[in-house]
Amino acid sequence: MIKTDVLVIGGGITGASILRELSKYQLSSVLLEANNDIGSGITKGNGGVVHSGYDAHHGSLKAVLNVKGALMYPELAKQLEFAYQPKPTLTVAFNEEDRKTIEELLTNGLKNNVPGLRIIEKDELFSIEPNINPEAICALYAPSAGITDPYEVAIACVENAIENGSQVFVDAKVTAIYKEENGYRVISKQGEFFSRSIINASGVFGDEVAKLVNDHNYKITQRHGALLIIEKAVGIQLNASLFPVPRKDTKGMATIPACAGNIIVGSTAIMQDDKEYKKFSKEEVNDLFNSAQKMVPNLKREHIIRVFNGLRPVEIHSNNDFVIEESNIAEGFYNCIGIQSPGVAAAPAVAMYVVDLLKQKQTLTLKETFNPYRKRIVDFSEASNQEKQRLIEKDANYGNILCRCEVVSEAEILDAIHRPCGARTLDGVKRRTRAGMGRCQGGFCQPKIMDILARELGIPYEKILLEEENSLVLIDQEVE
Amino acid sequence: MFDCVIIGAGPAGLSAAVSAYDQGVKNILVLERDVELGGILNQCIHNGFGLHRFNEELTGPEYAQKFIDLVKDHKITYQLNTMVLEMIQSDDYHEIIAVSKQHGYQHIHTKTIILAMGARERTRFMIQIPGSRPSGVLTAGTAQRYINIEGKMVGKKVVILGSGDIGLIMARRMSLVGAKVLRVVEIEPHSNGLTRNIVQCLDDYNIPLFLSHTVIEIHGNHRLEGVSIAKVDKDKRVIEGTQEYVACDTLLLSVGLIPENELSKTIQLDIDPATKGPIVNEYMETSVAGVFACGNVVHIHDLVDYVSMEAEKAGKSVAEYLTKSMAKTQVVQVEPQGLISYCVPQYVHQNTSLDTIDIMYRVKKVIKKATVLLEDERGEIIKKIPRLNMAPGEMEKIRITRKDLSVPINHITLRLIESEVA
Repeated sequence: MIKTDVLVIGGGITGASILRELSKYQLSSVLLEANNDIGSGITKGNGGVVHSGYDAHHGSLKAVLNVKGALMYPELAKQLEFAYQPKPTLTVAFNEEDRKTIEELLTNGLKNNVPGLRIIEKDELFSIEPNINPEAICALYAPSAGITDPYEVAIACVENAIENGSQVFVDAKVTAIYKEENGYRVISKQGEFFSRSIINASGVFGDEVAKLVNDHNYKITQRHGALLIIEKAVGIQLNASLFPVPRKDTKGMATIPACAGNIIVGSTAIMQDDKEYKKFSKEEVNDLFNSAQKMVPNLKREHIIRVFNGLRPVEIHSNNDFVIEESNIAEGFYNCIGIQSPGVAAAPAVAMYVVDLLKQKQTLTLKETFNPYRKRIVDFSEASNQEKQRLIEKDANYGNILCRCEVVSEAEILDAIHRPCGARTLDGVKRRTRAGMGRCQGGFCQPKIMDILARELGIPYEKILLEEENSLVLIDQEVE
Repeated sequence: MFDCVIIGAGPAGLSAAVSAYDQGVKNILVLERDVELGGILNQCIHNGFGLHRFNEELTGPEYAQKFIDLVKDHKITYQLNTMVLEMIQSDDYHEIIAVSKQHGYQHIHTKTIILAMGARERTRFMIQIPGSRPSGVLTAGTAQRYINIEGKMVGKKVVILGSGDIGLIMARRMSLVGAKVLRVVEIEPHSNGLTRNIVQCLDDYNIPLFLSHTVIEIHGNHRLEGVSIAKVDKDKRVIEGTQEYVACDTLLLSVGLIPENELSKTIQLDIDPATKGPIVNEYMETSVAGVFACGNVVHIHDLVDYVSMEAEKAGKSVAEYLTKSMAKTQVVQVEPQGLISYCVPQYVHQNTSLDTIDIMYRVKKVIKKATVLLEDERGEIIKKIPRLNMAPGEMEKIRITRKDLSVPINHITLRLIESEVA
């Protein structure tokens, strides 16, 4: 049994950010993730916008943490070297009614202290974003927003936390929690743990995990969203994330310039009871594409290379707000419930908020040895020709390009596998290196990456998973 | 400085290399990203290749070997496991940046380039089949590689979407290796595959072909558990009430190929939106002088034999380009109209050095009886050919001679008058 001071349940962007925050202090910390990889639950099913915080209802916890978190991103991205680019959001009005709505959003956003927020008129709008539909009349301009790859944020936080002494276990679904003197005994698929405090950051399963300590105060339902990825290099480079005027409960289907140069369109918003709902419908694809084309008329349907989806945990009693509090049933058990959009932007602030809650009960001392820096996996495709040459001279594996669409080398894939809490599945490799993320969707590189995973991890080729448990690519049978 | 660098050692690249060599170009380098020469032919272990080119039925590897042997006999240099990252145009020559484990980072200078990168398969997401995203959904070509190269089974109960040749071949292959192919589903009212493949790959194995049907949903959160299939009307809309669930662990997709031209874009070649390949002239030269292209990178071929023939033309053209004997004045555009979806070459030259020019094209739908017309801009008929039983799956050609171009014209159109509707 591993004993620890704090145990985080859930390795999404929230749990990973909390773990990294904890690793700054003189205490031991453990993170348990039910899936076989970090950031592979609802964190990956996300458009990647770091929202500025204009739409979170003023006075809510969400509004405070969103604005604060978004402003932490530039520095955090430097320390942890995850993909992040400052990119404004434009919430685009097409008529006078829309204008009224964005004026209300402006008022709300200014109350939330969103920096630089203002309405821009047509001329300025088109100078910022020439690709936009000429029928647009004005937009709410939020310059403190950005874009990121949320799963990479989670992976970076976890890698950095491990570097600073935290322990992380994947495939570690928690099945029972027992209150004991001075803490909790946690039963997981990876064995037993004892922890003085527990932080529940289990996304859509937050209510279920709270029930393990008899805390029945929460009920999470899911808002499902589908998203499209448009091929990069189609000649459209957006300078801002483009949002339609929001409807109730959702910021609407946005057209987002993703970090790697693709465009992401998302997301739809449909309530679902199933916590593992993973489908998208034809209607959703149509709605998404039509919405994107209304914003950027030059987009072409044939350039869609991927459709994916995610869930947003919505706590039904909380008026869409985040709920971050110590359980009133179980002392030392902290719940982070309903961390829906803008959970990505808020994550670093949520982490600080949770640690502040811990500090109310105990004295936490900063570690002098804390290393805030994490090195990213080299991105060969982005390197200059000179750097490419240098990389190959240093390590010939950079010369072996396995993913032709995204230009990913063997060296990057080896790094992804051998890092702490490294990739063990095809999708794990894909999220860390982009191998398989391009136009052919792994058609050419998948067999080669299977080879490397099998070789490096010492597991049989036919046991390699696409992603989750049971997602075998091959069947364990010889060709007759 | 090389005389010619060929990018890709599949059927197009190999044929082009041999042809250029035979025409006197000796200083050739072939760059191949895979571990061996032969390209996709290596995984096409079925026979049926070579009937037109060699007058015999060969397997894919046997067909490739004929060219590989010639490449080796001629001592044409090649590099394997080598990826070309970029092409850079200079005044008198071209520059290629390539990387490999063995040779590291290379700047290669060459007088000419032949692009022969082939094509890639369209995926499930490009056609946005709704549903969940389990494993067990893969393109037919990837499945073919797993089975024929890696010796690994991809599944036991299989549905195939798309009745193009790759889909048909894989239906037979899956049956032969012990899987049960439940059905082949085709959204069109006709198959896009060769008739001989329908007989030899489906009928002989009692595999049902469902025309005017498509997969409307994918089920299973981890590994594929089943697909929903439905009938579609003539506008490809799902007919309500025809949905049916088919339990299966594998869905293979044979839903089309796309020429792979990402590299071509680094040298700003003009791309034809209809073929998605470089615009070429009768010499298979692209919009950048000295850069030639052939095979599936230009347009998708139905038979490898025709790839070889096109590549041989490119190889020969390189020799003419290097000896400056290629006549290239007075461009004549060749424009497809109506039921013709594209033409290759997209333009020719009035004073062409070639005696005959084959214009390759495809039709947009199944046509029972038609007249194919090649006219110049004055409405004068250059060629008029009656044709029976044309289909989008089969490449067609119409031949013109230098004499046909002897009157001063700038533009010819290719169209088709349907005389009996299928």
